Amino acid sequence: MVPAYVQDRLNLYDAVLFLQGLGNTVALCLLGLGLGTLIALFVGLARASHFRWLSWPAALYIEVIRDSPLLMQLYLVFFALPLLGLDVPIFLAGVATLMINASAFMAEIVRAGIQSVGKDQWDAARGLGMGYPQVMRWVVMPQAVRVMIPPGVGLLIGLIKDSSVISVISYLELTRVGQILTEKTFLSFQVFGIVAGLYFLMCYPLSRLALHVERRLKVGG
Amino acid sequence: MVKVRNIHKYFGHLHVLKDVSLDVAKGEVVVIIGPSGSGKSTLLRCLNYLEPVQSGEIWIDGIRLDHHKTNIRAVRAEVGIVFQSFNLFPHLTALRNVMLAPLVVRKRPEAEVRQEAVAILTKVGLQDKVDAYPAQLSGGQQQRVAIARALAMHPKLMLFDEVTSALDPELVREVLDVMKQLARDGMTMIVVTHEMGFAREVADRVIFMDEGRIVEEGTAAELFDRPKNQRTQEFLGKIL
Repeated sequence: MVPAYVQDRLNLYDAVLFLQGLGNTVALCLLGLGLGTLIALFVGLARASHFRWLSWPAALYIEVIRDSPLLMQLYLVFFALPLLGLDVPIFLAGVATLMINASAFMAEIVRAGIQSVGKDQWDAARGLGMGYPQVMRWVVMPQAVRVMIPPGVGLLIGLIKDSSVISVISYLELTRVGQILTEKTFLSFQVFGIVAGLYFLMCYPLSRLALHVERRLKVGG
Repeated sequence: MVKVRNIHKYFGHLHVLKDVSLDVAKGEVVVIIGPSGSGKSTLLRCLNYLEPVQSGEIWIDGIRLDHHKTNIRAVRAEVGIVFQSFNLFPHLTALRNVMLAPLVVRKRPEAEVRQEAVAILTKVGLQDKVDAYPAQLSGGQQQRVAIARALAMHPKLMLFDEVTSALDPELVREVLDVMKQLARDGMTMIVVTHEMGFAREVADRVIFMDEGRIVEEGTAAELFDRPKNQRTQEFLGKIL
C-alpha cells in the first residue's frame, strides 16, 4: 500500500528538477574538469622536466591524488577544511574536488604525451636555435596532443560520470535529483533510467568530438 | 669560422673525445671519416652544443660556446645541422618545416619567410612538394627538406651528420648533389660521411678520426692515396 503523499507519476515540476540537475552537473564538470586540465598542463610539464626539483614534487602530487578515492578527497575538502576554519561552499567543494582529481590523472596523460615525442625532434628544434618554450609550443605539444586526446577524453568521460559522487554532500546535481525524485515517487526504474540517459547525452557527444578531432589531426601523419 | 681547442667529452666514464683541436676556415669543406664509435658524430654535435663538452674551448665565428644560454642559442641560429634520420617535424608540411625557425626564432614577417622558403625548396628540387607532409615524401626528399630547413636560417656553417646513411642507394645521389651545389656556392661545411666519392670531389680537407682523436688529416688525395698512419691505412683498406 503506497502512502497518500507519494506521487504516482513524474510531472512537469520533476522535469524542471531534472534539467536543473543536468545544468548543475554540466557547470560542475565544465569548471572542475576545465580548471583541472589547465593545472594538469603545468603539472605534466613539471613532471616531464629534467630538473628534479620540478619533477619530484609533481610526481608526489600525482601519486598522492591518484592513489586516494575521489570520495575521500570530497570529504577532505568539504568536511575537513572547515575544521581548519575554511568554510567551503558546497558548489565550490564539488568543483575543487573534481579539479584536483582531474589535474593529477590528466597530468600523467600530459607527461606521457610529451615523452612520446622523441629526442630527435628536440635535437632538430634546438639545432635551429629554438629555446624550451618555442620547442614545446611549436614542435612537441602539437605532436603530444594527438597522443593525449584518446586517453584524455576517456578520463573526462569517466570523471563526468564520477561527478555523481558529489551528490553525497547534497549538491543538487543530476544524481542527487534522481535520489530526491525516487524518494518522492518510488519510480526508481524510470527516474534512474532518465538520469543515466542524461549522463549519456553529456558523454556521447564528447566521444564523437574526440574521434572527429583525432581524425582531423591525423592528416599528414 | 670554427676554432676548437683541446676539447674533452665524456659519456659517463666513456671518454669519447680526447683532446680534439680543429680549425675550419670560411668557405672550407671538411669531411670527417672514421670507424663507428670514433667520436665523429659527437664532435659535430658538440659544435652547436647539442652535446656539452667537459673541457676545452669552441669558438664559432668569434662567439665562444659556453654554458651561457644566449651564446648557445645565438650560435645555433647561425649553424645549420642535418641529421642521419632527417628529424623533420611530422605535423608540418615541407613548407612549414622550412618556415618555422625563421618565424619563431628570427621573428621575420610571414609573407617574406614564405616566399623565401618556396625559393629554397625550389633550389633543392622540391617545388612540387611544398604542401606535402614528411610521411608522404621519400627519404631523399625528406633529407632535402631537412637541408632546406637549415638553409632558411642563413647559416654561416653547415654540419652534416651521416646524412645519406639512412637512405636507399638510389636516393643518395639527389642529396649529395644538393650538398655539392652548396659547397660550390661557398658554404662552410663540416661533413661526417662514408661517401668517399663525395669527399674526393668536394672536400678541401679530409680528417680521419679513431677512438676519439684526430689521427690524420690532409687533402682527399693525400689521405686516400698516401695515408701515413697505420690505422688510417687499415680503415681505408676495409672500405675502399
